[in-house]
Amino acid sequence: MSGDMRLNTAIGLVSAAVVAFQICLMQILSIVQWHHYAAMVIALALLGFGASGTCITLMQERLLRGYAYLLPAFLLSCGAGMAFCVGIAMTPLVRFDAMLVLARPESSWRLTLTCLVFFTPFFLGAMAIGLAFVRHVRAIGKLYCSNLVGSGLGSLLAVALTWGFLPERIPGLIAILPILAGIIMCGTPRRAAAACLALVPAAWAVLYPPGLAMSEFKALSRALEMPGSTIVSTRNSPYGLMQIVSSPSLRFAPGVSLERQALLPATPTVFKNGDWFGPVPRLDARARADILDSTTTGLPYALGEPHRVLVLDAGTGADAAQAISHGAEVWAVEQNPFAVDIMRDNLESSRLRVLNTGSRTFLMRYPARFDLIVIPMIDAFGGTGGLHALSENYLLTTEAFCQMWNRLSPRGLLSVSCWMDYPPRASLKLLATLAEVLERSGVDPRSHIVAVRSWGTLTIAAQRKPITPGDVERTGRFCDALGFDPVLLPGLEPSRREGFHALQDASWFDDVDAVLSPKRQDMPYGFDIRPATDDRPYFSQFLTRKSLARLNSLYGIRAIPFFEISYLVLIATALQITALAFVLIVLPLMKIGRSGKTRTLLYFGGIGVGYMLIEMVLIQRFVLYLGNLVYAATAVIGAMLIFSGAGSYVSLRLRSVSRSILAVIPCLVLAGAFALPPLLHGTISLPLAARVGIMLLFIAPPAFLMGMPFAQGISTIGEDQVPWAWGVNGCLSVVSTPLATIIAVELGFAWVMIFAACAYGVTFLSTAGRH
Amino acid sequence: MPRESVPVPAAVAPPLECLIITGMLALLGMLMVLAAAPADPFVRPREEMVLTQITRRGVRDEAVLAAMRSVPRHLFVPERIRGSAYEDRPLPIGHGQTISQPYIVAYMTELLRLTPDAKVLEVGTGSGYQAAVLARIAREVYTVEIVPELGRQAQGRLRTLGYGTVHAMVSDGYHGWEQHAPYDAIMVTAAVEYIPPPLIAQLKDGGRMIVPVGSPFVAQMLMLVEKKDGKVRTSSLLPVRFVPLTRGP
Repeated sequence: MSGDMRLNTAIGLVSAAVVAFQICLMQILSIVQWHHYAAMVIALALLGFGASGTCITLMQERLLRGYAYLLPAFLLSCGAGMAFCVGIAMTPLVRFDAMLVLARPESSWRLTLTCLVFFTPFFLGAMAIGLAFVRHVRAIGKLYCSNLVGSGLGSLLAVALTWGFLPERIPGLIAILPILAGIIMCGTPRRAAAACLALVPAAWAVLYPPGLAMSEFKALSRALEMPGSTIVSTRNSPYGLMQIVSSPSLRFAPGVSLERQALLPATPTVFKNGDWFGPVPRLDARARADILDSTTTGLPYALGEPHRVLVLDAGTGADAAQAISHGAEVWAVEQNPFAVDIMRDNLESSRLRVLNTGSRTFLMRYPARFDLIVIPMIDAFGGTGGLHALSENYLLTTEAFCQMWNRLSPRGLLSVSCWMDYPPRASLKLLATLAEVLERSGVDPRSHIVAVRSWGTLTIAAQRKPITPGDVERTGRFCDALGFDPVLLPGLEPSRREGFHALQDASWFDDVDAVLSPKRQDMPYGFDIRPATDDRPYFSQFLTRKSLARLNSLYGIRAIPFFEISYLVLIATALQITALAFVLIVLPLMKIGRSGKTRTLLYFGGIGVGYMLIEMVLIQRFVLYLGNLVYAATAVIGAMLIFSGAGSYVSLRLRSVSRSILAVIPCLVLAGAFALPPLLHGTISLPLAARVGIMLLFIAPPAFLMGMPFAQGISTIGEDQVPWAWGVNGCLSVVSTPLATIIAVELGFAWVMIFAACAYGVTFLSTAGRH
Repeated sequence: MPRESVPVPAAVAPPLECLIITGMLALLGMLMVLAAAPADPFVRPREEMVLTQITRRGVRDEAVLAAMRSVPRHLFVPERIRGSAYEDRPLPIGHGQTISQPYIVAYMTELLRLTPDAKVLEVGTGSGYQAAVLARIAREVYTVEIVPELGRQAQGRLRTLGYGTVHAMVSDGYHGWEQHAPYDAIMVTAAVEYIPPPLIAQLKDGGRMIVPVGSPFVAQMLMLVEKKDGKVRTSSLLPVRFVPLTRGP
């Protein structure tokens, strides 16, 4: 193997390992804690890339002198770090609990320590890549290509590994890659043989993986505390670590009527990454349905006898079981293959048809009509306090409800349920969304929506045909029998709204009436209850500045983070990363001076920010198109990086047109931002292979061009600036990740694309006057 | 020669014996004062807790206030956080459980409207603190905990502290404690996504049950369940939180 090839292979291997390790770590941290803290820890750890630029700048001469042994040393130690750091993070000394971070000072230190532990392998890997870039500036096109292609393949590798291995074993497997890279770069056979010893920790981590110490506050931890609880099945996949717990104390009866005197049977329960996912429906569907019919979700079956029912995001199939027991032909749509298997294994019925795809993709692709469309209970029990605030949910947008409405038969009915959260947020946002959709269809929501409430849950049914006196009577009977209160029903007397369950704050009824009126836009409310859209698909994000004041008055300032925690952690992450990135960018200027660095900063900063913003939007756009979050994300990331790698490879041959390329990229991004939604909508009915082809065709040109500017830029700046430019690019790439989410939440994906185009515009402008 | 008495000037120092006696008296007095002073250094924090966290927020029931003053909360929390026992927040007690904020304990107890001859069922013993408070007011308290380790610890603690009217059992609280039913009042101290039918059945007609409803780690609404003439009616009362760092309204 030639020296060039060895180096490119080594860079490819370590790049693949870094991306795969990042994805694997995200899953592990989501399991032991919660995903928002996982994102925070990983974002901070990824600053290792920026830090490597700073470090190389400050010690450039010394590092280059020792390049021959430092490069393999960094690669080997990166591998060893990957093998060990999960184990170290799980030790009692380092382990932190997200729930106690604000309660106990030592937990904050532990969090910092955890970030540092995970920072190490990223830093070491980035040191190896950065050092190679600095040492071989003239070959930067090829090297950057190896870096990008390796990263792209790393994302594919991570997905492949999650299918075959439990999360705790994967870091050891990934660690083999940088160790192999280190062995390749050792130079002499004797050194290479010695370097093989570094495979020992990796093998150790695979054979004897560290136990994952889950927060005692996670739902799974609490379930396992109960006597007789055991995990009966565990399966890992890119959809998460799915575990079934059998326990005599786990039951499923969300908000069940107090009039129901029969005992609730114990039910095996599925947990995903340590969080509650759903019950395992039993073969005795009749008994199960009997329980659900005693909750507010029984409303649509009290209103009529649907022949064909569609259950979207069907989960493990509880709602499908309810529909089957009512004699309906049921279509259950679920994306998670593990949940699909549970449904198929437990709900054997000739009347059940299970479809393993995304609910929105199903709605867009299949023209069938249904008498009843069911969306299972939104969020986990009692609301999730903003845990899902940053999770894109395309099933609860106005576009989604419009599609559902259009899929209803003339006598069809759409049923959606939620927990009665406090302060009220989800219930009002749901009603506002339905009202808007019905108004768009030329229907008065007040004469088509029925809603009933138990002590804990609310079910809303929107009918295609106007509510008849018969419907009113049937709803009344259903409520009286089970001790529920009607909330929305034509001719309803206000006193009946609190017949069985009195609310602490009866102003909720006024708010309900207000959101159903056409003037809902003017309704003052302390939380964001505007309907979510496909461009801003954040149904569970309710936080506004006014909300903070209201939550403060209700619970006190210290409790606020527990309500909208995801968004607040995101903002905290963005602030921390920005501050650290600033330090990492400014520090090297003390050595290399400030003169002439503004252009470099703008050029490489623009590339870093623009690339990440575009990547994020494309993932979201293709999620609906391909019908699967995991594969869409993998395909988009992989395709973008590989095409960009190709762009980097040819970049130095096209140096004469580099400014033109920089001018084209923002235009392409802007054009793509507006052309993509109609393109996807128009071709979604094509078979999967054709859709993947269209995705690749759409991504290839901009990704190819976006791979060029880095290598071209590196080749035009002074050698002393190369590591700094690498650091700037790394720092701002990491900063742009939380930034992209904040822009998407506040303004929508279209604006993220506009910001991305602006970032590339800044890169273009920074080259003004240069030849 | 007759001896002349020499008048002693008033300002002359008392004899040594007087000084010794006075000193001893003073010492005795000090010892008495010290003996009268409470040996428990947590008395003052407890008094302050009742005054600033509970009375000021509107809890008026004298029996509840007396119970909150007398139960040594610090003995119900892990030793390492004993110094925080009287702070205005719930505290973690292990196994993903917490001891509720003092105000919430007092507020929930007051809502039960207990009489001295009441029989109470508590579901979720946890540290045993709530059961101890109930025992100061009611005649008998039955408490059930599902986590064996917590249940056993609480049983030992309550026995050591002399709460003889508290009967504890490790069992699934879903089933209540049928043997001693019906109860005048039932208190559920963990957030539930369903109200177990056996608890409704074990509540005496005219009885009251308090349940927090909502996500365990986010926010719950305290709910009052009343049973009258066989009919069950519920009311949402107050938003609360049962996780560390909570502060009541």
